[in-house]
Amino acid sequence: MTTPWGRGAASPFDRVRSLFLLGAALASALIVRVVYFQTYQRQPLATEADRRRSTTRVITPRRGDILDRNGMPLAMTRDVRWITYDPSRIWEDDKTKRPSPRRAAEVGRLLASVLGLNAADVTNSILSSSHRRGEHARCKFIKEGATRAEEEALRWFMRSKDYKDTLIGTVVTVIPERVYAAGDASVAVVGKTIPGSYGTAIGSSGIERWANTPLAGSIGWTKGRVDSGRVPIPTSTERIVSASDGANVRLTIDLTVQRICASALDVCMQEHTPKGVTAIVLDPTTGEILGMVSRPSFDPSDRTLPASVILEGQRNRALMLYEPGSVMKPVSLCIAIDAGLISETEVFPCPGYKMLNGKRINCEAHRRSTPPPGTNTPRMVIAKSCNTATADIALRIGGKRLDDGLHRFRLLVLIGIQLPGEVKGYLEGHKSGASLGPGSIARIGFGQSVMVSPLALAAAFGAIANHGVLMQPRVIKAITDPANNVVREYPVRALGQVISPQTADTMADYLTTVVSSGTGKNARLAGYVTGGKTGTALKSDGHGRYNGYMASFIGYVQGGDGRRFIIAVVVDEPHNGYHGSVAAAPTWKRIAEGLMLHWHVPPSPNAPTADVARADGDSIHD
Amino acid sequence: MSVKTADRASAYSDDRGLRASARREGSAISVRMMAIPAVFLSAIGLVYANSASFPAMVRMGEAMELSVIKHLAAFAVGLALMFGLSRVTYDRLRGLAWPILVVCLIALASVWIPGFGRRVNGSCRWIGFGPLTIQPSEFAKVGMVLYVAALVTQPRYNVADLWNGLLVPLVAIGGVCLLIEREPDLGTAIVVFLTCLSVLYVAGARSRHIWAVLGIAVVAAAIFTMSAEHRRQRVTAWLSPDSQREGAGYQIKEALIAVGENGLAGRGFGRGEARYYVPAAGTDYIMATVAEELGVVGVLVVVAGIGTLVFQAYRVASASRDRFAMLVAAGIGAMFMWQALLNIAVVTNSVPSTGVPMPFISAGGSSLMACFAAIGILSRPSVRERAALR
Repeated sequence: MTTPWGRGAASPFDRVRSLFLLGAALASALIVRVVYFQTYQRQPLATEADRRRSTTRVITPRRGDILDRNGMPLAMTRDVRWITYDPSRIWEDDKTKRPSPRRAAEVGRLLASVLGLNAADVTNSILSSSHRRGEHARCKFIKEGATRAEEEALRWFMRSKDYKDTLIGTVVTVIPERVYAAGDASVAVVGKTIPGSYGTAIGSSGIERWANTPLAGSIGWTKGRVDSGRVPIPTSTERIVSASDGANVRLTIDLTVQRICASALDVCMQEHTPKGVTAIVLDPTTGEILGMVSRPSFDPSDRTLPASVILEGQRNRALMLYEPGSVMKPVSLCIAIDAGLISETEVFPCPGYKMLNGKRINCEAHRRSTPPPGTNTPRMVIAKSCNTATADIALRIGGKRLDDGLHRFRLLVLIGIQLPGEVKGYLEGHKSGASLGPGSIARIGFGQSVMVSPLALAAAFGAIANHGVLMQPRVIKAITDPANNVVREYPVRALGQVISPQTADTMADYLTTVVSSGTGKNARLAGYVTGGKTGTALKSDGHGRYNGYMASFIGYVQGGDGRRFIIAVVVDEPHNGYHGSVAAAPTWKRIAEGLMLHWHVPPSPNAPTADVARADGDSIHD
Repeated sequence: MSVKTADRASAYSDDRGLRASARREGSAISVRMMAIPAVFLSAIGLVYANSASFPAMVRMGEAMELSVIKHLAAFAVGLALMFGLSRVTYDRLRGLAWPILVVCLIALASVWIPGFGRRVNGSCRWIGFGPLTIQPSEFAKVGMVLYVAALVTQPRYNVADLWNGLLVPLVAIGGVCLLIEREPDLGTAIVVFLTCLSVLYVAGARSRHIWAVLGIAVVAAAIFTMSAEHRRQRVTAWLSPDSQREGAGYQIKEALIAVGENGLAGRGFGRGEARYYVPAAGTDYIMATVAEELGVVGVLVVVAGIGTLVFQAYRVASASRDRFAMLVAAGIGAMFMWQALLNIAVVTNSVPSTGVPMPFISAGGSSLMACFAAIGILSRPSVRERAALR
């Protein structure tokens, strides 16, 4: 067939048409394929997309602060900036897996100038093949704890066109870290945290644990799509649950009181080398705990301590049960006086010991010299700490009433302190007071065969100092949100009139005699009215007795303005003198002195002068 | 068209035959009929190429503004090329075919000259003059259409004869394709090959020769593909995109997700996410973003735009009485057609991944300018013969 176009067989018009018809057919097929993906394949592709692209990112809330009564931080969260370098980004080649020394020096110079370090040190740490603690092949520490300004300067260099290639392996990690302003003074009450998931912290002891829920806040998350570099896509629709930062917890603790107590306890630890010692400062009119320190302790910011030190140091000895010994006597006598069983003028003769059911009860106070006839009144029983007389009085009270009284003082129930680890006091070997035998009753009267916590005892002494009204001891004042609005308040709460005001005032007066002319002379504080009670108890390990003592001194100090503060000091196994009068009372005095100075409490006009205190110096017994 | 231009067109004495032919075909064609879809498509391209390249540019630390300015400059140069070439007669173009081929070959070879050629992502496809870079293979596509059309219309060649007509253009085509493939740019080489083969087919080559060449090419391509590990992986990625979490399989799967995930309606203008996942989102995989945001409608609009251009090329070819003009028109139509088909076929994983840019839409100044130049050449008959074709 001949065409105008040459000697070809087919018409070029037909061929153009068939060529483009083929194209149209192929185009239609491709559009059908697009539609196929958009309809039949849509669901599997969408599922695959979610699997590949979606990610859930956790927003870690900021843990709240723990503040003292004046708003001073005891524990707070700060951001720690770690600058690390990934040497694999400047490997000479993938076989040797060694960073190039030339580039390392370049990086070292730049990082050192930005972060204020020595260039050679930085270069060496990048080049070093050994790993420091926490390091690995992809993370060489350059600087721990860089400042915010340093971080921003570094980020500027990392963005800048001229330096970003040099700094390509630089990693800035911001880690929230818990810092404790009070150091080792407040560990027992403030507690510490352990690392939780997603960069959060979990309180493991103290307030950190008791108030963990409000402190921790709540974790938030965003669910959205990220690109292949895990960077969120701006246009993707995100589902967000916002994080809420933790609340602040405001304590009744006073940071300065903590320091006063800590330094006093440190002196006690040095002089008497005990296993442990605790001090509590309590405002008896409100139940607020102003100070609560235990020794031994540790600095929670120090991350290199062995676990044994941490385990021992985080115990709050103020909550650990012990046999109090003679510090129990004021409570027993209060119960007796309140029930009208004894009068102020009644005399309790003491031969130095008492036989009860064939067992001998020794009176340490009158072992060498029995009291002159007619002098062993309740006041002197407390002042000299006479076991025989207290046993008689306890027997007069009887098991049922003694048990009821101890319950009223909240010594045998949970008092409800806002701290973890509170344990109920108990009578050894008995569930209730009704089954007590005379031996037990007598021993409980002077503080043996009964287990109570220093805190509960301090609260009971608080009732004596507070005209018979027992206040609920509190360590948390309020919980405030991050903007410092009060979310929850823990109000002052009276647990009841446990003894009559007259009884309480009488006993408060007896307690001053202990200090002025009894066993507690070492707690005498010139210019201030002080009243307290010593206690020395043989420790029981639960099976038999063994040779160790718990020395206590619990009492109140009163200034010229009439305010009273309860201070309790309990020493576990002191040496160089185990008596409460020797091991605990001087510590108590140091704390009381510090408190009066700290609060500028005016001296009391009624107080015995220093001269009087010094003139009166006979032997001290417990 | 105005009466004035119609009068001027009728002044050409040799228009009579064309006019008669156009009347027979019932054609109505003008430069506007081709310029409008071209400008429309490049407007889509201006929006999509730049928005889809944006995340990659942010990652590379490049300036968005510079990219848009470059795109607009290429658009302006392209328009100038289109209107300039639409004033060059076919006789002069035929004479220029041989020099154009020589320039194309020199440019293609010069991508290997150190300091002159530019290497991007391991490919030597560009040559640079200061801040300007040019991709010679894009212009070589148009040049090859002109050259093959000029060659086969020489009286001494008969394309129906294998030895005395088909072999010379085939050798030339093979050489140029090999040069382009070595850059490496397999996609463009395939487009050049298919386009030139289409020209030969329209020029009257025997069907059995065309099939034989196609068969040899397919066998050669198969051997070539299987000879290297990274090319074998592309075939694996094509057959089962899920088998590879990285590389070709990753890109294909992400593109398929973009096409299919949001259904027929698409996710909505400007809300696409493929640009964050598909590495070549702004260039070879631009249709993934179009399909993702505008759904099947967007694909249809782009296909319709290209289809309009191809249809106009078909009408010009059908109306031409000049054999060279007809082959050039058919060749340019075939070039747009094969390139668009291959582009969509790659995005829908219908063929192994061999990326080519979508004409007028994908990012890339050279591609845009070459496409406008092709439209200028295509509209040449319609400028000269508009009276006849109107």
